[in-house]
Amino acid sequence: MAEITQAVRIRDRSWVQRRVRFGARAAAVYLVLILMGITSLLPFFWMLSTSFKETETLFEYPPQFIPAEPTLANYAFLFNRTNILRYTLNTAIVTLGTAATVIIFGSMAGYAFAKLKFPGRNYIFFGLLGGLMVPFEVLIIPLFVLIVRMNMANTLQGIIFPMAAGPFGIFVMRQYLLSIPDELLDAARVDGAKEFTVFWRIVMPMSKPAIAALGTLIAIGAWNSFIWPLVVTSREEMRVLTLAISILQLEYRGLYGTMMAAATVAFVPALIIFLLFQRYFVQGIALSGIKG
Amino acid sequence: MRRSQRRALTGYLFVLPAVLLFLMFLAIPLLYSAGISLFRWTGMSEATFVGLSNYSRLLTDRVFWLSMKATAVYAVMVIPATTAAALLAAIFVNQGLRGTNVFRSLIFIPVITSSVVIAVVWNFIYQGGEVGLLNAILRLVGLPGHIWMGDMLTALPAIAVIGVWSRFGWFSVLFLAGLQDIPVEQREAAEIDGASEWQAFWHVTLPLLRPTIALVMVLAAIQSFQVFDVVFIMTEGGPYYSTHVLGYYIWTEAFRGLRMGYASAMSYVLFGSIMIITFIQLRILRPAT
Repeated sequence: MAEITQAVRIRDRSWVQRRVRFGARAAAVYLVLILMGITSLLPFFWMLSTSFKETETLFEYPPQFIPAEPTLANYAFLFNRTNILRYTLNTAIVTLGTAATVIIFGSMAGYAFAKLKFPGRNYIFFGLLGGLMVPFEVLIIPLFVLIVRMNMANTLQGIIFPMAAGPFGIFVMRQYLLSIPDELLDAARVDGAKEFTVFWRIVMPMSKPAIAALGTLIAIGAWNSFIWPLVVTSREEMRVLTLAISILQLEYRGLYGTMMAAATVAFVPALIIFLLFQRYFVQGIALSGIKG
Repeated sequence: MRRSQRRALTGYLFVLPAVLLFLMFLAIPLLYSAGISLFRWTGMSEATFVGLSNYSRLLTDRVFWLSMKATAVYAVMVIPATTAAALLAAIFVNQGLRGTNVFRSLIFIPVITSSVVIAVVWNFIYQGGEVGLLNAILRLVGLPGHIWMGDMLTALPAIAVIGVWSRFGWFSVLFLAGLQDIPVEQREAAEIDGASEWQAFWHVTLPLLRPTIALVMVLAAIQSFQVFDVVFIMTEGGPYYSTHVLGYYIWTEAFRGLRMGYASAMSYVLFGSIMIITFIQLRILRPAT
């Protein structure tokens, strides 16, 4: 009897020890995660907080994370004295235009490479895929010359087309469509549907998850793009937000509150896209097959 | 028309728009750039054929070598740090504790943010005196402040910190996918054999992650060789060329100096460097056979 209670007690103790060890372990994991979370968020919090401060209170020590007297003066300055609404509209058009082009052309080509048979199919596909390796720096100068010659400098389509030319969308859509069973498409073809009807009525609706993933990745990339708009636009009213901010920070050097307000205007829409489509975003990274 | 011919035609029509866009804005510019690199050209005037002299001039251009050095130092700082931070983040998120997905989202927020926004915000954080948040925090814990972006020794590391901070969340997604592919039994088997958790990680998990590590390092290398936006906003290559990376030199030569040929030659050197580094890394990190 005594031996049994002894055994039970030993088991109990080891259970308690394990439990404590597990608790300490979980606490350590959470601690590291919280530190990483704070590191990731702190600059944005500081941006937001500064955007609501009067210039005179910017440099108070110790730093004020919550402004004592929050003000909208920086935003008022931004909206009254600069063309920020126009820049935001330009950015939105570039974002939608790039995403739409990549999605439509990408899913058409992706469908053909995955499901249609034609001579040279694989050669063409791998030729396109090679384009993934080309760094944008190599293309900037000839693209600039080309766009100027085509009279598309200082136009939004001049910003959009070169950004939508990469093979990434084709690749993602092909990867996804390979997993759709042929029988489904054949059934529709037997019923006499034209290839474009099959594509539009069956393939596109079935590809919604891939389209959402691709669209989110491309939209965020286009919203944030900088070097190409910098090269191809010189007129003030054609600026996108990133370009406008880079110029504002030279014009209003030292007006940190206004700069942080402008940064917030550029940041929040990307954040909203991400929060809405987060699930697709992560899937998109996996879908692109770059997981190896 | 035969049925197979009609199907082939349909296929070509479906790929046509994407292929045209690709040829026009990627393939042809790629070749055009190689051509431009053989000329002296302002972009407007008559171009003069100079053969390979744009490339040979690079060898004696001091600023070019300073740019190569800044790019290499940046890459050496960013690649391992990003890989390590991403792996660490993935491991901690993957512990299966409640609510850890929230943290996966949090570390992703810098990834989806414009590099211009990031540069403007960090520029403010790095300000000298007590203006900047970093110096204010240092003062709170009793450490002296510093003019981070004005010092040759700290400007490039300060930019590298931003590079790691803004990219590791992306790569941690790749590591998470890699970790979740590893069967639980493999690690449990090791632990039953008496391996400590650390040993199990070192001898079981890490070798299985090798392909993911290779991929992440290659992608981080490609990205770090192309750094531009943050340098453009924060330092314009200074102080004293310490942050004058190759991407920035290409841009200034092309669009400030109007030396299109010289800049094109440099862009091909950048392209070549990226290919060589990728090849070497893939060779080193190739799965042991």
